[in-house]
Amino acid sequence: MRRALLLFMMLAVLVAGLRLLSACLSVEQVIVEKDGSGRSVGCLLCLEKPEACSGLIEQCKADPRCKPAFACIEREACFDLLTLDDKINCGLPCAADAGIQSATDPVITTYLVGLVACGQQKCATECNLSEGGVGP
Amino acid sequence: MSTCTRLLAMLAAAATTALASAPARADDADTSELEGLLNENVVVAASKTSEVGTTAPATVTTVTAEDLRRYGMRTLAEAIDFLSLGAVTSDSQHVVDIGARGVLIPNDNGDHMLLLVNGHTQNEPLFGRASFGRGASIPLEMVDHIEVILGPGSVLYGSNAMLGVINVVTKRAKDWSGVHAVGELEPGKSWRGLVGAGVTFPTPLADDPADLTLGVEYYKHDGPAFFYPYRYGGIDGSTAKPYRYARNGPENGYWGGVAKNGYYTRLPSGFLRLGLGDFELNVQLSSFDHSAPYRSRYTKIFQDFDDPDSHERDRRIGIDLTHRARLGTIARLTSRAYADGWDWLADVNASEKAACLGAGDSSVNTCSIQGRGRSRWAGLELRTDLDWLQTSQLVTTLGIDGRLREIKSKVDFSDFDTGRPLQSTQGFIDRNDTLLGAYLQQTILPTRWLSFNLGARLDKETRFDGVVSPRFAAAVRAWHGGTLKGSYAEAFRSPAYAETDYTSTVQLPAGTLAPERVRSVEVSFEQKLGAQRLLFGVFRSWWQDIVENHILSVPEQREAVSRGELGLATFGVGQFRNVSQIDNYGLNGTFEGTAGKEQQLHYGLNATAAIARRDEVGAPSVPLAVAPQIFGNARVAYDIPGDWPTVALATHYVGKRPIDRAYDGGWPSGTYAPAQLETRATVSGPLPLLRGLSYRLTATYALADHGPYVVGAQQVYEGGPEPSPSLLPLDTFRTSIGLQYDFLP
Repeated sequence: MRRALLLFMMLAVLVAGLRLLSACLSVEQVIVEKDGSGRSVGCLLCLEKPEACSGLIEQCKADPRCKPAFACIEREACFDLLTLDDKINCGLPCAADAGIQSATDPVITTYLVGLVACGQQKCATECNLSEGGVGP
Repeated sequence: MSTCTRLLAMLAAAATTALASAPARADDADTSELEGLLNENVVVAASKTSEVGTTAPATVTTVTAEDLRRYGMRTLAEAIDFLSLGAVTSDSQHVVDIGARGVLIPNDNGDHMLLLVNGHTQNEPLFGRASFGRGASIPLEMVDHIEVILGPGSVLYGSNAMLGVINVVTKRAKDWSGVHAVGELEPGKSWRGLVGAGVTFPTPLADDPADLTLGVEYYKHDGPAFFYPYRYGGIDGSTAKPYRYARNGPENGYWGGVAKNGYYTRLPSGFLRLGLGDFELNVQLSSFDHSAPYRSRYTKIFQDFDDPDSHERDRRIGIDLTHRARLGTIARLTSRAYADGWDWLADVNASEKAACLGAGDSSVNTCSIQGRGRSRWAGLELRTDLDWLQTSQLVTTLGIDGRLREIKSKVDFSDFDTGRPLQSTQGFIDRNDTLLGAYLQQTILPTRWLSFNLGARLDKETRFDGVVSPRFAAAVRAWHGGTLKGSYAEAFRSPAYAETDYTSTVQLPAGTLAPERVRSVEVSFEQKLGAQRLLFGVFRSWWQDIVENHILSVPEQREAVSRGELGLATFGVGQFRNVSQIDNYGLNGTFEGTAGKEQQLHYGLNATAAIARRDEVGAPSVPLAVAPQIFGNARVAYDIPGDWPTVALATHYVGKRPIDRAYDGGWPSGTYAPAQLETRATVSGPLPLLRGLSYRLTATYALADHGPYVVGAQQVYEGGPEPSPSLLPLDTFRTSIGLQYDFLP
């Protein structure tokens, strides 16, 4: 009888502990719906204007590593995507396809980042770019 | 059958065996009397039964409570570094890495070493994590001894015991009787307070008095405020401006400065051990909240510099209920039911636009990356020891260990300022699984001078086919005091769920991962001469299928996109794979003993020299990053007779070793961390005027002021004026003062 009582008490502690464990940190999924359909038509057209950023684009096309990356970006119309993040996320695989393996590669830091900076100054409305690199 | 139903069934089985069996006459965990009789270290964890260390089927160091006190040890990691043979730790501030015999895998969360507290497994299943630093959360004043068992140990314990097994055994009431209060201060850096008690008291529930030890501890540290050299990180592609590395910092691209806020620990913990009749109950509780001010390769790719809100917290509760009983004259049955809960919180704030680019919204000023994880597991282990001749000469151990586990984790991205979620949860894991292990061990002592230990364990879990881990060991007492020992053992590690199941936009599913395996052979010779002990051993081990996060090449990435496994591919897409092998061999030795009329002089020396090289198909063979190939420690202490203090000096040495980014950082120079020699002087003893009050003073000096971890924004070399990386700064001089009051009724 005494052993049964002792066993019962010990198991009660264990079960109480198990109950306590169920009160741990919540790990529930967060779902964020995003509208990925938007486009800022005319961004690339603006960038290619001589008074805008055509000089930088020509420099890029003259660079054997930048040229294929930019061709892909043109083909995918990455600059016409709505937000800067979308533009970059579209452009990075193009760069990777062109053999650029780091975000700090000079092709990116010189030409592509330069295009973003230029776009902020010269085509902020057409490209939906503000000074802070922010979308809508 | 649901998890809950299965758990109840297991508990019922435990209850049945406990009620059906007779009380145990001998307690196999109560080793102190036996140890005193033999004047020899007694270990439990090597073969799950009490045995002398000399003939245990592995190389074992026993660190006693007296050693911990005498040499001023404050953490498990310090005890390992200063006092053990063959094991070594390395503190990156984010995590304490542990290695043995030349093998150390940085940032593995300690999942290649099995950590036990009174036989209870500490490694959890999401990361395989076990903490060997402060996070171990065991008040050292409550520790009776620490068993450091080198070499593969899966034969009795299953996964994670690749480097070895460390078993922390806590005191019983008779060894910690009374009420105790401990306070310890590192001026300007940390303090610690512990209140505990050890009592025995009669109870109507059992013939023998209940045996209770419990302690509650709080540890807090802030700083020191290290200076991290400024490094230029470049232009943020999202803003076309230099990076910003702090929420209120300038966009000037410079990372570094004096970190005054982001290096801290808050650690409340508690431990209880209750012996009641044939039962023993162990309960552990802790909440380990800590922060390091720097970004690193593995743990914090993005993190604001010196941000106190970027922190990590592990909370743990563990309950272990053991019942020991005799079944007839030859059999002993040990039933153990256990339940554990662990949760993990990691908040990382980054003010680089690139940090939240992956979340699809770099418009926020500061992106908050929130990792959350939880694992819970419960199980039952039944073990029978059959002492066929009742002389301990022929003992068969049969055991079965069943475990149910639940594992969950996720990573969220939100705007730090508003809390707005930026993206749906990444890396969501929600798994339940079952582990079943069965083991058999046979010890044979045909003569007084010869012993064998043979065993094997089969482990099967939901994700993998069965893994068999054998061990064969033999010891020959060749002549008086001399023992020659040899063993062969295998061990494995089931990849953690964070490796097999974690996926994100930049992390491909792991696909088929095999458990890591290690095979090891070792031979050692031990000679005892009075109170002196000399040990010399050689070892070799072969590790295979080491799991690493392989960064995809451009063609691999392109293929993954074409297969539809990746959506928007970007740089640095990883996939956990069985990537590499390790070939490891070396030698180690110990000399320790006592001298003097009353054995007042204590001394010891441990040394290890090992070669460990990582091999990967198509890559050159290289030494392991962060892993020292030469390391060891030495100590000497003198107990001045009477009420005078004990003075002690302990030192540990770690040879130079490759930094964590030695092979993938592209650094032209500075790829080795300097050798480290750390020395601690300790004075301890009773205060002369107040009975029950004692003190401990320590001063620690480290020669090297940098460790083997690259810190800061420049993790890799991409040109520029600095050809060497910025390495982790270390605290070179520390002092502490501790007071302990023991109220003995």
